[in-house]
Amino acid sequence: MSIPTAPSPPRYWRGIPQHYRLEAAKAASGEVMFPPRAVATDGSRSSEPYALPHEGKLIAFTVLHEAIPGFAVDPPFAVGIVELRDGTRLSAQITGVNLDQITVGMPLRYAFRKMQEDGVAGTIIYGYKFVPDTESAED
Amino acid sequence: MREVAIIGIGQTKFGELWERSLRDLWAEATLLALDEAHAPRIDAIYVANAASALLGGQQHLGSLLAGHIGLAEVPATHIEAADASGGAALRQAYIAVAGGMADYVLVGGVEKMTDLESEYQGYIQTTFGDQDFEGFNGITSAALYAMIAQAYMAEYGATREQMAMVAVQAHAHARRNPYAQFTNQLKLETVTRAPALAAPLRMFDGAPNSDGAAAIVLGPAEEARKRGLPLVTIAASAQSGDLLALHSRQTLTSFPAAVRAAQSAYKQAGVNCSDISVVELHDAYTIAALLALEDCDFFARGQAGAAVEQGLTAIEGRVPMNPSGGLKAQGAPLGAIGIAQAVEITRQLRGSAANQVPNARLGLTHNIGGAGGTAVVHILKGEQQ
Repeated sequence: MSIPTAPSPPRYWRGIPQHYRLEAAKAASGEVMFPPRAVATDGSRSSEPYALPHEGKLIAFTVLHEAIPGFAVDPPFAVGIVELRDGTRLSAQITGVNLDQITVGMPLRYAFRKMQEDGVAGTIIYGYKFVPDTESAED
Repeated sequence: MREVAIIGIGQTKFGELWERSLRDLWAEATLLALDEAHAPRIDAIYVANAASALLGGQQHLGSLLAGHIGLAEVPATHIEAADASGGAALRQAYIAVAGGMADYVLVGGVEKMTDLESEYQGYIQTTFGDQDFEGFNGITSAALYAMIAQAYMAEYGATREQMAMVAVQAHAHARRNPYAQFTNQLKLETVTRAPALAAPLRMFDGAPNSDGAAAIVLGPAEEARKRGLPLVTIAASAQSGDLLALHSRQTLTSFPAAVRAAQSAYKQAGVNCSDISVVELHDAYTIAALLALEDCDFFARGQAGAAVEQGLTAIEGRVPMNPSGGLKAQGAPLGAIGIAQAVEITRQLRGSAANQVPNARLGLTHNIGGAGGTAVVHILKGEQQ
């Protein structure tokens, strides 16, 4: 038995603001939510779209040695939790760097990348990954 | 709220049981529990299962599985909370009996994992996290626990060997458990030199894919006492939740939902952690056992690794942990985990466990969904008649 592991075209399309542009939701209290939530921690139900900064640093990471069906990259590949400049955290693949040179605390920036090659109905799935921020590192 | 007793237990062997189906496993465990319970009737059934829709293309488990054991007309409902489905279902069954809506309730957990090709098992794991914001990026449960392990080692100076000792001890405990998937001795070097899974975790840091089922029948304690049998009651049933995506939480080195559930359970039972004789904790990965020992307050933050290394969590230690072998060695059939934990603690409190902790009076179960989105803690109490 095989099961569909890629998002359907409409599900993928709905996620474009987040996956293409790093769009979070900002509540009246100032809380930034990524993924966006319907209700903020203070109970507020209203929020505005909020463009996350594209630069941050690596909080934690691992190198995965197990393949996930349908993914555009073969193992081993790196994933991590990135803390952006405004303090918001997200999960992402870390790429554009040798796996043995990834370190906690390294500066990273957003990159637009292919995630899956052959999704439902043959779609190519794009999203965000993070790459070393060499400009920041040279500061 | 009335007092609730565990009046019947049952369990299958856990493992790669190629010849057994989902319904076979369910029937074996639940019929054992029903035969022991001698309940005058069953008023409700809860089925704990984490991923049958994906693993076997089967939903509507309440109807299917109640009918398979001759109880087609009994209200039967499927409860899902990833690999905390068992604990969550036990809690629903407890609520039904404690609140008086039902007198006798059957709660069973079952998972049939080996019918799906192994390449999809990693995908199944991603469904326990936030699929759009973690799984979409290739983040599996193994990845989440690996990052937790990395953060824990950096924050507290815990060693790779200390984590490995959790797996070594699990295999040692499972050796005498007739239901266990792995009864082989595991050497420390085997764990630390195993093929990489998700650094710093290696293959033997993770629980296996398992087929298996476990079941419990609950009833009013007052009725059960009349029978004069050794009685086990539920002294506390607590659950808490958290934001699903790990990156959304403040800490990587604790599951706040587990801390809340444990504190709530101690308060309900009117006990503290030093009163607990034996524990079954959710060791989906070795690092998870260290978090569990600290989240339930058995050791101070950062001390659990050293405690395991010093033997404090062995059968004769101060906090006997996972006498069954836990998820790592008894096996980890997702939906059955939380029920199997309570089955083992019941045996311990009856004095009939294969790996018996002497004079066990109070036992605790700790069941986690995914990487901490759901936490369920139960405290069971043994009563000598």
